[in-house]
Amino acid sequence: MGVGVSVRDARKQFGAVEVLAGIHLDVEPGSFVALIGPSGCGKTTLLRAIGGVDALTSGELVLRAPSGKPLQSSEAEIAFCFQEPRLLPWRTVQHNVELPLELAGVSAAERGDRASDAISRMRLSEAADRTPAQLSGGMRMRAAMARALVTKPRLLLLDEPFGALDEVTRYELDEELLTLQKSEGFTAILVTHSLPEAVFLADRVVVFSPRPARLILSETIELPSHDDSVRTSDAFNRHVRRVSDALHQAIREAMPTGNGGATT
Amino acid sequence: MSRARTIVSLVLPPLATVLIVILAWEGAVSFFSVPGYLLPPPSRVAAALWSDRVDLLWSTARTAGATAAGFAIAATLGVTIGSTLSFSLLLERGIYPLTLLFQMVPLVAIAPLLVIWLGNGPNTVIAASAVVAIFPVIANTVGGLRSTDPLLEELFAISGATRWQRWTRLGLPSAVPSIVTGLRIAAGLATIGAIVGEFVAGFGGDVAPLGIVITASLREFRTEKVFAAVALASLVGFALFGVVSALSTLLLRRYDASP
Amino acid sequence: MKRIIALVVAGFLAACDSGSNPRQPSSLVRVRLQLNWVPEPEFGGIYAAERAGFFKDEGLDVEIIKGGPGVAAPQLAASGQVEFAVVSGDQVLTLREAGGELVAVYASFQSDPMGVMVHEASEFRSMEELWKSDATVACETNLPFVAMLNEKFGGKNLKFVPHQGSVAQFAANPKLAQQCFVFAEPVSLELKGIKTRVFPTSASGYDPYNVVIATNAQYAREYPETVRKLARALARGWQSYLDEPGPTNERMAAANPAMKKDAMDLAASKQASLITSADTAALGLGAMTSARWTTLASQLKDLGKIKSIPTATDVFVWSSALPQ
Repeated sequence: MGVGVSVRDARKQFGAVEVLAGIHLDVEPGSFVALIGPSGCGKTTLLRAIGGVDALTSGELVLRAPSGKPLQSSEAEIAFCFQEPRLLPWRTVQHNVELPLELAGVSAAERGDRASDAISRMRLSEAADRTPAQLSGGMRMRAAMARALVTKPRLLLLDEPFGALDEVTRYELDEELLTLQKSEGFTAILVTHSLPEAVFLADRVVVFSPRPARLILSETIELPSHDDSVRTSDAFNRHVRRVSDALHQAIREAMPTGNGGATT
Repeated sequence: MSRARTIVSLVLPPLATVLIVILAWEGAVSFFSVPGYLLPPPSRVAAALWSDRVDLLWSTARTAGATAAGFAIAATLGVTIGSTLSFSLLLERGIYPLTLLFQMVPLVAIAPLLVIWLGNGPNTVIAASAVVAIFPVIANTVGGLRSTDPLLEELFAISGATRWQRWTRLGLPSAVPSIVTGLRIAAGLATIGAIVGEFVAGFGGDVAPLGIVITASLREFRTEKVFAAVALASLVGFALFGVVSALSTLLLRRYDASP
Repeated sequence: MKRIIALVVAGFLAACDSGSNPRQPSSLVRVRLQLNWVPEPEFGGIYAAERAGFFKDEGLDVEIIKGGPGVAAPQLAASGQVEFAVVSGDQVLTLREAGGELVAVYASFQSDPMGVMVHEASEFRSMEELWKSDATVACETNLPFVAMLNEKFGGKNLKFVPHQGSVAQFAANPKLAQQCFVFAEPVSLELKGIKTRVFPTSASGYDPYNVVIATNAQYAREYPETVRKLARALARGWQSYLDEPGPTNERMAAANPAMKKDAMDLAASKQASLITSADTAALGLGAMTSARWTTLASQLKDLGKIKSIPTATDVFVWSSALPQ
């Protein structure tokens, strides 16, 4: 069901600044890939390029069905989850979740049912008639996710969606996202600053260097389980360690050589 | 229990102030022996209100009707024009400054022209009311549509929304708080416009609207009736403002905070 | 020494050079005269008096203040904001009831110049025909002549619209009837090529004094001599204007962009018959009688414009022993 993504020699330039310096990336259909890297390294840019929102300066980007057949981005059924919930303040949760279906012309009855379904899967049913102003940060994020999932996407692109939430809510949502991804079978690409989150969620964690960005590590994740307790397991920590080391090294290497002659 | 107290605490101070002003006014007029044609005491104004109450009621109704119609036109036309302007940057740049003319040209100057174009009678009065009230609606509609959250705009773009969908489901609802502010301003202006229009256009029919009552009473030196008519005109303005405010509270209940 | 003598002689000569009045007052009495409209032939005598120095001759320094739409001339005089104002005869009586005591001191027009004009192509041949129709009339409906005409001819089907104070509305609408001064607006329009037919309101029997100069009762009590002097100067001014309106019209046309000099000349010739009468022949220009004021008061009471008839001598002052 999920869509596969292959990126070849992706480059992005903003004016004189080269952000992506030739990225190669393959995302298997139905897999969960996390993109990690320092700020400004272009991981969000790549995500948005995959989603058809921004364009690459050069390079090849192909979306494929599980059979291998290439797809247009409109056929690929992509959904986004942004850093901000981006809910319409004057609409209830129910109507916010219905929005993508409404824009696509789905009938009122059908979109009502599908939205209620998505809302209940995000465990938000009791708040369905509230407006965003009446929700906590975590609940707003759930609503945003319900909206993303209501279209039954084949590719879900997430750009640091839980960055503004507290730790506990974050863990909850991580678990629910993972459960949904496994049960629905969509491909998920997540940009995040949280190493533990990346390791917990992803089948593969891909590490970017500072810009001009290259991929410096692709870490396949193997964990004994995916419940909350795994976060303290050795396997988990090893993965986090490796990713962290690679990231730190890349940052160090990218710093200007020498320190102006100072000896301390 | 506390709800009643809140209402009392809101209503009592202005009421008390008005009462004090009225008493001071009454006292001053009698103490300084001010002649009636210059400044009548509030008791005489009240007497005029009472003795002519039937006629004044019809006059108020006439003016209120014209005000409401003028406001309705200003509201719908204003939102339409504002929305059209915000569709195209070129249109906006070209035409928006011209709409400022509505604001700048004093109504007293163009009212006689309106009479020549539209004749004497309710049409001119309604037109005068609309002309004065329309600019804040246009300005606030344009402003509101301009200030749509770009993050939401991107959401709609990614979701493949058509232009119409973007306008009806994102643009207009986003602009509602701003539009409503414009409507509140327009409410007061619509009343003034109607009265000035009446000064100049009169009214077809046997019942004189408040504007005519004012000018006729001035000429007859019946200053107390002028005050009475002015008080009633203010009431019309207050009433319209109240309706718009209530509407705005209703509409804006959902806009408390942006997520 | 020579210089001192020269200065003294110069000063003496200057003191002697005082015109017709040998007793030169050391300073002129300042009064303000508020017009109730823009400068037009109806005020010809006033401006003529100013031009010829008749006010100065009486020891008066008169400041003529132009009026226009919205100027509340009667109230300004009644409250003392100005010493004298131009009002219509009925206003002297109606303002009195509202607490403003005006006293008339000079009546420029012995017969009311008010009228209603229609376009020449109009179907109406008389005031009666007009008043009984369903035409639209632009006038101030509170004016007593309206009530008088309503009494005589009904006027139930007439549509009244506000009077704008300009001829633009009338010119644009061939079916409109409009109030006017019989010698003013019709003349202006004629010179613009628009012919009119005029029905004087005085034909209805309501014929008050008009372009009346009035002061407030207190001033009349305290400065009766000033009142007499002003009346005298005005009478001389009006005589001068009747004899030769041209130069004064030029002065007024310069101050009034809405009416040209040739229109004013024409108007001046037409208004002359309203300014003189048997009374003015006997008592002087501007004269007023108790009989006519009493008649006016009765008419206004019958029309419901005033509640009580005042004593005639309370509302006007005229000294028939004024030298011409």
